[in-house]
Amino acid sequence: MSDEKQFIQSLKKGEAAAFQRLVEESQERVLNTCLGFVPNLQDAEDLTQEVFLEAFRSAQGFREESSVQTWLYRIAINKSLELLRHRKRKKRWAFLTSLDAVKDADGSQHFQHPGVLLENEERAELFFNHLARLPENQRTAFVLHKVEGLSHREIGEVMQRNVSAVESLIHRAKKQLRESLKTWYEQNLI
Amino acid sequence: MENNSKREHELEKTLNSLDDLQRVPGNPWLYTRLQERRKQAAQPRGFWKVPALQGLAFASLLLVNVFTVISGLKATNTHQDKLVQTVSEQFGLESSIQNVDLFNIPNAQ
Repeated sequence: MSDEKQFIQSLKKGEAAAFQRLVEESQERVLNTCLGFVPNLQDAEDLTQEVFLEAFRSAQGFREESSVQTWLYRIAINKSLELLRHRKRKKRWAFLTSLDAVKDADGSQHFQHPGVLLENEERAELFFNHLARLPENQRTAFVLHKVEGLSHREIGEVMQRNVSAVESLIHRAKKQLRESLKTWYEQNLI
Repeated sequence: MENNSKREHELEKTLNSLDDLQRVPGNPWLYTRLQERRKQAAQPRGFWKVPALQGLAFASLLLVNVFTVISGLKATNTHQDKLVQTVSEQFGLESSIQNVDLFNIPNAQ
């Protein structure tokens, strides 16, 4: 039995050592993926915890049709998108609660990505704000490509799409980002 | 013209702002935290924390409230009817308040 297969079997049995190995080997990848969706360290760390707890809970049902890393990427993406949807809903109904809730619901106010160089912080914040306006699938493909540096084939495995569909998603994401930022600069830079 | 090229320059710089994005290292205490959260999750939670039971308790409370209000209203009506009956018997009036005609009392001056 190969090491990967043995590792998966140990995970499915709920062995603590296998989970420890999973956390130690993958936490950086999960954290950085979450930061690509939610550019705030505290939020991304909370999401990382949720991702691993979900992995612990659902390990028994892991069907081994993909690698463990692909499975973790899927959980991380789903958890990140769930949080963003929840915040959107909260923001939509925030006028019923209070002004503080409106402030809290807007994640873009709390940009804190430790991977961004200080001199680039303002630009990166602007970039992430416009990235957040993309449709979920374009955004996912773009984050996996740009932040995680995955190949189109690997992104295809995570998103369960073929390579040409992934290329198209990334192309459209780049085009839309360029247009959105161009409009912003036309309105804000005289 | 100059503005256009400046905008274009800024746009390119922003689009490339993630090119030198650094990898963020993981938290060395993550596994310990996860162990702690798993332990907490494994502890049996009190029955009052089960959402279905919370809903049931709320519905029962609501039902008791509605029942109390309805029986209270009924009791008030019965009490009022009895009072009207007693008063009308003592004063020799009609027993039902619907039949009381204040403008047609005999010998009223």
